[in-house]
Amino acid sequence: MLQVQHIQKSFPRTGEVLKDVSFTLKDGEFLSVIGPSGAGKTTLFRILNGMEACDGGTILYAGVPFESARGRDKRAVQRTIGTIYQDFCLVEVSSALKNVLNACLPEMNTGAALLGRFGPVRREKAAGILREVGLADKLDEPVKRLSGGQKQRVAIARALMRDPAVLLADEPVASLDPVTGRQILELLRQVQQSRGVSVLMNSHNLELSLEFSDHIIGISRGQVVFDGAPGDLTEEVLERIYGGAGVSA
Amino acid sequence: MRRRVSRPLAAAAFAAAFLGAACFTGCDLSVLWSRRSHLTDIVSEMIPPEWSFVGTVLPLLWTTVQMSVTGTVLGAALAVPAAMVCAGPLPGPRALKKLARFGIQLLRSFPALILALLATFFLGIGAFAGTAAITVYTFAIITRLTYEDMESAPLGPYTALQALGAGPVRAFVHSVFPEIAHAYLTNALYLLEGNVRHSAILGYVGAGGIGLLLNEKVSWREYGKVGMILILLFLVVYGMEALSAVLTRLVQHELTISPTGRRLLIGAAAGLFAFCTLTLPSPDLSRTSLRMVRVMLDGMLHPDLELLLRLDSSGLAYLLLETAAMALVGTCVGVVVAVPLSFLGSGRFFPAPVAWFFRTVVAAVRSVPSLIYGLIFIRVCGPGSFTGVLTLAVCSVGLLCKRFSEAIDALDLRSVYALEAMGISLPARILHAVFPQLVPQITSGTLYRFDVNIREASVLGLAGAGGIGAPLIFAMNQYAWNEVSTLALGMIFLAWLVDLVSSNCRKIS
Repeated sequence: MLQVQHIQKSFPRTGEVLKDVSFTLKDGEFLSVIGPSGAGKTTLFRILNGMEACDGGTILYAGVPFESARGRDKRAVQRTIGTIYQDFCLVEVSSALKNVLNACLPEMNTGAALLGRFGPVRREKAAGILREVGLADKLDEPVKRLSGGQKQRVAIARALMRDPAVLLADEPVASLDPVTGRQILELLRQVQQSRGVSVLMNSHNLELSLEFSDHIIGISRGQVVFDGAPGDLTEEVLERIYGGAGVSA
Repeated sequence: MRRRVSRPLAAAAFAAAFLGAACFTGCDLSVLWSRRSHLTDIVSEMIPPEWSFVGTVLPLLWTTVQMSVTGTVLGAALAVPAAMVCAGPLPGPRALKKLARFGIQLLRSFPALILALLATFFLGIGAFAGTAAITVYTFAIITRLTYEDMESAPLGPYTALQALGAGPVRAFVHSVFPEIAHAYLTNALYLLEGNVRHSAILGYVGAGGIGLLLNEKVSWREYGKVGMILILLFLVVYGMEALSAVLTRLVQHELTISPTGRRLLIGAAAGLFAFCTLTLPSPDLSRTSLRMVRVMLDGMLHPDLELLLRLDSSGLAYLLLETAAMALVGTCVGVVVAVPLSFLGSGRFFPAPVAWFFRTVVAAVRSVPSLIYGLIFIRVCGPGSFTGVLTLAVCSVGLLCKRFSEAIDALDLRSVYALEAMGISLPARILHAVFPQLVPQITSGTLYRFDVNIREASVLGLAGAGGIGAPLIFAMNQYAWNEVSTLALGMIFLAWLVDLVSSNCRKIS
């Protein structure tokens, strides 16, 4: 589904953040990227969703090159990617339904997009997805009145609205309490299984990552130091990833 | 990083500036006291007003309302695309953004009256020129406020929509617009009520509305008629403020109405706007010619350097200093009076009838355009900058009270109740539990008012109350465009300086 080959990135101030990062996300797989703060997880994530350009390497979404695409081509690939953020990135004053409908903006013609005329078909689809993520009674509620877990459900619904092939999740449970966090990951796994979506998640939460993932990538100081199944993560490997900084479970 | 500035030092510098400015503007309370009978005479002559004059006043008052409604709506609507050009987050050439911001800052340097006078040269005498001036004035202010709001809105949702593949404009419209919509509408409503006051004086320069009649009656000392005009103006301003308060609460979701009610309201607003706009008199373009524009531009491009460098009381430096000093002293006096008055006008600390009484008095003070105060004070204290200071002080009281009262109404009173439960007296409660919460609002309100007073001060020149306004207006009326250019550059410089000072003051406080 997603092939990442030899990605490099450096910033003027912090120097090299990603050094030759390569891995593959298979169809319908749940992959977690783990590593200490500052390992380069968020930069990798921003490169994968197209908000940051990389200095070298290749990214292929379903075989289509992404890192070199510009304008219309780039947006065409972006439309197959659903993104979920730690801080939800929802329009707080708009309703849950409106936030989900916003995902349709790229495919609409200019007038309808600027005026927000989404039409009954899209509305029905958005309402259906909100019901699927368990928010049947919150469609018209402004997002600012929802709890953290409910907000993340709206964000997942927004990502699903475009029927994505890949879901990118940047620390999706970091702002949530442990119980809600687990519920959100259960929802992600359910979506992955029922819709056959591949999920790539950045996470600090080692325990939940091990429990929910099929595949783990460990990053330390911008390099991949582990690529394998959760069962292969030994104490020694963890030591290599977190470098004696202690394992944050 | 916050820069630490020694507080005593800042206070001493401020006190020195205030005293210096007070001396410079010739502030002398004994003059006011010894000639107070002139003031009470004028006020007593206004009562009772001449009721028979209503028929003459109403059509002109309607034109005034018309000018402000059309001007505010058009200006606010044009401000949206302009603010998008200026706003940092949207892509676009940096040079264009800088240029657009600079243009907005230029427009913002001038009071509506000067813009109106300029408009009469292009659009002829009449309400059309006034409407154009109010449109430009509103446009400049709302554009500035809106792009600042756009830049402080959370950008996460904007980035998220872009990551979904939406183009920047679509993403912006659907992520940032909803977040700033209520601030935008609140600002527009706030300007709408202010614009009624501004429109009321545009007649002085021939730009339509009630101003000309008001000027005439003040000059002829027909105070009964002046009283009648002021009462009607008060009613209109009061009505506008009440309407805008209700609409603001609707915008901020403190009030809710049914979808049908909402549609009716939008329909009524659209109908009012259409009616106001369509019944405006058409512009008189008979005097407008390309040659005139060329002469004007030629003069503007060759500023009068002699005026710029002259150091006596008719030189640019003196005029700017006088304007700034008037604004400084006027604002400070205004704040000192406004703070206690706004407590008296708050139903949270005083019984409802007391609060209502003070609120009405302040609303009445607020409804009179500054120029009228200028014309009245000039009868008391004579021409000069002391009159300007008094005028600005009274005008500042009216508007600052409104702002402070709103802040007081939004206070969190739990800490006050906690002190009350400990048996602490009302003044001590206000000092220790209320004041600390209000400091940010008082500071920003004061700085905002100072900014406005700099512009207002230049209008007062028309009443003979000192400052840069009078020479500017005379130069414009005499088509001395090179002098206009110098004076306008001075005003732009002053507005820029005040902007710089107040943004630094905000950082320090």
